[in-house]
Amino acid sequence: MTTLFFPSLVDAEVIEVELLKLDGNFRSLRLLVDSGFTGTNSLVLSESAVELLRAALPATHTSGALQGLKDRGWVTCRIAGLNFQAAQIAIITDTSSLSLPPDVEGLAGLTFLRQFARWGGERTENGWQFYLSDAPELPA
Amino acid sequence: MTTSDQERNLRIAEAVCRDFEWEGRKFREGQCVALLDGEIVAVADNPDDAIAALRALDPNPKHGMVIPITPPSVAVIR
Repeated sequence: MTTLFFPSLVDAEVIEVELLKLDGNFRSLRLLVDSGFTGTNSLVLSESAVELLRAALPATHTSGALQGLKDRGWVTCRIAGLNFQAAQIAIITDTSSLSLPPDVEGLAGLTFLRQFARWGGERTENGWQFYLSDAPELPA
Repeated sequence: MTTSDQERNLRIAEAVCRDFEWEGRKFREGQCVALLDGEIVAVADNPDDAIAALRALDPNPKHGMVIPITPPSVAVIR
């Protein structure tokens, strides 16, 4: 059982994931954690991620910070430290309207987070950190 | 893959997610259906297996689609 910590930004929680490329290598991305992003889709990625799609699925209607009919597809996402690798549904769109922090390339939503036993923020001696865990309970 | 194949894929996807059924074949929530050239080519209990089955038939990621059997929903980004 593992808990993986990601240093928080000043005003946002982020995680680091790897997406499988068609040539078998991985591309690392930093994603903003957004538990208010709900629905069957796990990720929002910029249009540059279209090269990572393994299969299509029908476009989806979105509301809120992104609006309208959006393309989407399946990507394979890995977090090596958690021994996690699984296909995820990603909305592929122009993310400029999301005003993402520098070096952040998309969103990880509630459907993504709920694939783990626990997730959340924690203040440590090194400052705030976000964690993903496959351990059902916090260590004593 | 022709436009009509793509349109048929979309029509099947819409029907499967709405009715959990297509041409007498029944599906259950949580399954994933792979579509290629207007036909259902695989049904799996997880997306990885459905994608693998689809890509084994046609390695081009722009061909076909894989749909999760879930009721239609709107993605909300708050």
